[in-house]
Amino acid sequence: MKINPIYKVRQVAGENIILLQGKTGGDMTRVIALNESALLLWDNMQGKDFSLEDVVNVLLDNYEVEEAVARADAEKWLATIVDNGLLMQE
Amino acid sequence: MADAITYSIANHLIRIEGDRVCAVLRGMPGFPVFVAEEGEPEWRIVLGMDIPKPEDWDILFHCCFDISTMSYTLAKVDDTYYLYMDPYDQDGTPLLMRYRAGSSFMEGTACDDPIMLRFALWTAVGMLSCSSNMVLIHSSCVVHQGKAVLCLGESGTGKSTHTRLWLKHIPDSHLLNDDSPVLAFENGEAVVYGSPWSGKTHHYHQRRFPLAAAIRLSQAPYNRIRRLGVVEAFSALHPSCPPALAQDSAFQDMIVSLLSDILATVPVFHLECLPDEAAARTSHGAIFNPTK
Repeated sequence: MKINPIYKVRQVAGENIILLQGKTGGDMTRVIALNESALLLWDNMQGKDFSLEDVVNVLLDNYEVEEAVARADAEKWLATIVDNGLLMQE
Repeated sequence: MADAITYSIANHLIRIEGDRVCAVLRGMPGFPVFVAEEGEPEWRIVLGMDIPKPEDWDILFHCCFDISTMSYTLAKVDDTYYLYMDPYDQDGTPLLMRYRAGSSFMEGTACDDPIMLRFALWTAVGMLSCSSNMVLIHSSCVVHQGKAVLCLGESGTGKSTHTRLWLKHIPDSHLLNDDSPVLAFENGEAVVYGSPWSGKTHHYHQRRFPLAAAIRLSQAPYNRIRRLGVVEAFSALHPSCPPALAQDSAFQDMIVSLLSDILATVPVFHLECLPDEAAARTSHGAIFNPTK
């Protein structure tokens, strides 16, 4: 899978956010705010083909966590990416 | 030489050229207030040119407004943006404008429909000024004790109703603009300027005030105000910036950068409110007497 390159992380007053496409001129603009680890994963996965294993490995390489914890976090991160339509459509 | 008028909008000089367009602008509410003494304009808009409509373009934004009399399209070919406004009335003449990214010049076909011209110039000034840390923000702007408060919300939410409540119940309040003031960031300070676009009401003032706060409004059976964190505050301000420009990555970057500066210096609130005096007192209190 691959992140759709139209999405990018932008810095807003100290926060890292991704603006979601949607109806404009409406009520609130939908955004995803990334914390430090979510941003790390985004930076590592953006622009390449990646698998869930790749996500797990980045977490294991950067944080001292059990694999089960890393896997659960990786799945959670990926679910957010998928649910918000940030992946390229095959 | 074609007729030309120079305006000063948000302290930037812009010259609009073309015989027909100038004739319309002289009679259009709002614009005469912003006429500048002669000076070297920073931006130019020339209407009355022959501009071929590209056969193929990438549409960034297309809208057929129910409330309007024309369709509105923003498109791009290589580094050139096209604005195309086409009247629903088949006897009407479409307006085509083009703008090369980064330039200070915009040109278009002739136009003497005041409604279309107003809307086209709103977009044109939005594009030309975007790189100067400013944006036309859809809001009603009240000024209290020399400081501006922007009321934001979808059409029909009650922005104008809320600012009217300030005028009635909060002493030393006046309206700067009722539809599209200019929000800018200058020398580390968030400021608001009046503009020639003020919706149905005619509040045209060539003035500048520091921004005290922005309030996103929604209707509720009670009055409650809450200060928003950065992420929510961004979500609250962003939809009030020109939606067509949000569809283009380069304009989006400039708008996000401006909002980032604004959010670092100015509080943003969400006000759930009734259309009553207590609502005005609630927002006024939160902004001007935050310890209470």
